[in-house]
Amino acid sequence: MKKRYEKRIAVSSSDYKGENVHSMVLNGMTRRGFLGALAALGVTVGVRPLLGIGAASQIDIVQLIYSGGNWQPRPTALRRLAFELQKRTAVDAVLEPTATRLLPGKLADSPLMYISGDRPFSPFTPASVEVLRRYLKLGGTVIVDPAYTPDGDARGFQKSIAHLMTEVLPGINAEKLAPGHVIFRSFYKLSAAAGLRRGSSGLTGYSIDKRVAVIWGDHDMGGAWARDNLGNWEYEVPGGTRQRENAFRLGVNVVMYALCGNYKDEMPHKRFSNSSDKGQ
Amino acid sequence: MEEWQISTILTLANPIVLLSLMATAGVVLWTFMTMDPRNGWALRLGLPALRLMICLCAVYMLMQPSLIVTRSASSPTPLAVVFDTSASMGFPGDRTRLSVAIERAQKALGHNRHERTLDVQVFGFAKSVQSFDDLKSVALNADETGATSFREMISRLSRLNEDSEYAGILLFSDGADTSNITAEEVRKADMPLNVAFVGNDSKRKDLLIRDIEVDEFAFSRKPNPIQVTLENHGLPLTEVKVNLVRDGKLLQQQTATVIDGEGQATFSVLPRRTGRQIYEISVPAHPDEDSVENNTRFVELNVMRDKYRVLHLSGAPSWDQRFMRDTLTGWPQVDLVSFYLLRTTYQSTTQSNSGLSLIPFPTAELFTKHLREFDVLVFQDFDPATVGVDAYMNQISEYLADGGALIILGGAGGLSSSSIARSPLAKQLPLALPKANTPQSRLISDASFSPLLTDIGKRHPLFVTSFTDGGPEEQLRSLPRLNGMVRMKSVQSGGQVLLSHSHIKEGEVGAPLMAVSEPGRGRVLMVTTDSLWSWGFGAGMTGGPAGYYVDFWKKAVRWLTRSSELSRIALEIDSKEGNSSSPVRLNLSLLTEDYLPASGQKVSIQISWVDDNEQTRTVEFTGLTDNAGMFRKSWNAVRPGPHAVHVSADALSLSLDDSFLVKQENRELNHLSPNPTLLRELSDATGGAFFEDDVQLDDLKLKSTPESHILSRQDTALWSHPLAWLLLMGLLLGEWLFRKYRGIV
Repeated sequence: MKKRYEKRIAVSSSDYKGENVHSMVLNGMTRRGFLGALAALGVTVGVRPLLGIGAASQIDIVQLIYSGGNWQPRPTALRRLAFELQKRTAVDAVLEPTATRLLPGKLADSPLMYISGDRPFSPFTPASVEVLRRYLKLGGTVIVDPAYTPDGDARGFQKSIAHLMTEVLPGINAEKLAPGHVIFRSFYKLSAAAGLRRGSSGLTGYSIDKRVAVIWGDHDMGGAWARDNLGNWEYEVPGGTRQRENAFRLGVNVVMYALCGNYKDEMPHKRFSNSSDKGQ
Repeated sequence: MEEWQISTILTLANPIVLLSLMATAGVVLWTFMTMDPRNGWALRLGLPALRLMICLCAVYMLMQPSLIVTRSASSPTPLAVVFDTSASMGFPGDRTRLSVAIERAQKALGHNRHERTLDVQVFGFAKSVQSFDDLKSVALNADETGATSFREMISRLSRLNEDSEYAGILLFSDGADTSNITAEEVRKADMPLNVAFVGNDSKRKDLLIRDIEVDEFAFSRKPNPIQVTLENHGLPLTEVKVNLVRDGKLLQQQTATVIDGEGQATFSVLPRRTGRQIYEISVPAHPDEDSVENNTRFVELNVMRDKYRVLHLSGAPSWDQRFMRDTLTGWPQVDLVSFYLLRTTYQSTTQSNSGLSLIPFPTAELFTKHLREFDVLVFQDFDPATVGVDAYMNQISEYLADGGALIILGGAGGLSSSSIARSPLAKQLPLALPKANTPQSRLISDASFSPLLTDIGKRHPLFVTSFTDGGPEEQLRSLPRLNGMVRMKSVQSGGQVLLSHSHIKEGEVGAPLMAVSEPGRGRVLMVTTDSLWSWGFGAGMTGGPAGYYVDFWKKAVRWLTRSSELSRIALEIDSKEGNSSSPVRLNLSLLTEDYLPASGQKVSIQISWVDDNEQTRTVEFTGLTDNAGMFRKSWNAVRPGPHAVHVSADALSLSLDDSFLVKQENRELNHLSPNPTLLRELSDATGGAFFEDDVQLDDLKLKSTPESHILSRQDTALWSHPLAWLLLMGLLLGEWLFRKYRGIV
């Protein structure tokens, strides 16, 4: 069984806007209790068919722990994304994503990594750079999500990331991922990237062998995903429900891209894309 | 004719002769200088002159002169007159090209009006060169059945030329060469090739397949063009039906429009299987045709696999699915069509479709129209019932039996599928699926483990490695542990377990992790875990052989599709010589079910062909394989044409079908059309003359050769002749008398 990184989640209901009825009814329950109740009722997660081989087959979006910055500015964000993945898609996600340092043995089971931060961080050691390079070249995918916190320096975090990428992937330049890119069609059809802030319409990527290995947004997706244990949204999204929904959709699409690659660019998908009977 | 000449043994350059001449000059000068100037000029010049003559006479005798008398007679110029006696020269009809050639030769050579007397040596050639006594015997004895080989003719005459020193060649031919000779080869013979072209086709009546063009490589399941060029001579045809036949069945028919004696037809063949495939192309015989042999030709396509077409169906996005997809999309030889269920059935029915980019699963279209276009079908944690594929399990079963390939990978979604368990497919799998009501705790083990190779697994092509990579077990030990497996019910008849669980047992042996079966002509690979992807990504992250995973799946696809390099039965056919006089060599190799050389196995090789009476004839050879599992046979084909081969080893339930083409030994009949261009090119290259009509002997271009030959030669030494000594003595006496008369003595 995998070891899960566990951390007490700070409960905050200050930004509750009455968007979800479950949080009102179940206010005061623990997170585990809340999820357990939903699963028992078959309301949110639904009746999932037996797939995979237990916990060993689950998709874990590991969050990278690094030194000298704030590696987890949105502590509840990934958990909420995993929940939405489980609810909306056939992806069997680990509902409590793991956090880990750049250790090859730890990363060997998790080819999808989430790096967030709201301020500059210390340069990685050469050994860590080598591990991250190997991770990406072997097929791993990294999601970079700067957090725009009031007392933070998201630009500084992004400068640190840019410096890290020049070391990890020398000779590979960042490229713009416009809304026409397959990432914007991997599960939902999206016309623009979205998060806590609107930012640019596209994303930035670093590609290895035609696969976008590093997907870098500038929209603070984690801020839009973050939700406390009581079901309250932690941060208000300027664009309201629609923008928050689009942030989740983008998160789902990024994970789907990491799992299915350019699947949606295959000819059958172009041929059947206008049909009303949806499923695959 | 008699000729004489005087020559000396010593030349003027000889040192002794030179010294003697210098002494002569000294004597003459000394004589002149020592004489009294008061003597008259007659004495002062006469005496030195006499002494000069004596000395020169002596020196000349020192040089040992001799008289050579040569008697010679004039000789004729050797000329090789060569007739093309090949099959094409036997056309058309009554007055053949060869008879026209002999008439022209008789007309030109009958009176031998060349300025030089010609020594005519007559030859005929087709595939080899034949010598004739005279022109008449060419007409009587020429064998007009061979194929034209200019190369052989030039080669043979070059050898003869070393003795005969021909002044040139006079060739009578239609130019229908089958040896593809080049001008450079003819130039090396160093003899002018004078050519008399014979090929007036005005009376010829023939429809023939002149040329068939195919691409160098043909690919399965792709259109491969076959372009046919027809030639018509003298037949009233405007359209011709061209047939494409294989294995006696008419596949296609095209109509070629004949314009200016030429027509073209293009076929497009779509071979379904790889290997040699022989097609027959024919045009109908016309009642007035001179030759019908050239109405049919065969073409052999060596069909290769262009791409492996893989249909990848996955029950849910997973890392196992993702890395298998990466392997398949990263392999240029794979054409991948994939469908992944991105939502569960429950989600599809309870959630909004708004904003989704998902498409419906085109079940009916895939499994009714396109299933057999795929080489490999992959069910990855895929329960066919979820998208209605369970309605097509019979078709999938038949697809397998007919040579398709199936990979079934865990997890539990696919491996516990009741729709598979209840279908005819279930009996074709190597492992029996668990019962529908198996509790999850009994069905799944999610503990990590290191798999173990079974005895068969160690020899199986999926795990056999090169010696430099270490053994299969060593390689497996270098890979990360796997996470979890689905426990199957049992191993079915015909199933072979290659990998088993290290500590979970099914009876006495480890629970099967990977197993294969060969139902009918198809193959199945089952894997009861969904963590094989860690052999790639996980191995790479932990310092193991990251390429093992990709190599494994490439080998798996090749084995499943019966690629010859991973097959248990293989037949090599060596028919490179491609004619009926060379034996066809067949080498059969067999491996047992355990991938050991199958020695002592009874094998049968059947070769079938259609004889002249359109009857199928078969010859069968049986024997036992040797210790290396080999059985070798050489066989001389009875007739040209396509031959089907069926090889079987019944005890191993192995069989194989192949074919080979015994090419027509005499391709001459395909080359009936005269080729004056080639003949002119060859004559130009050697400085010879080209005659389109009658041969004018005076216009022949010949090498200069000796015009006479020596009959006798007589050599008489002059220095020892008495007259020579008498002359010398006379001169000495004259000199003494001269001095005495002048009062010098």
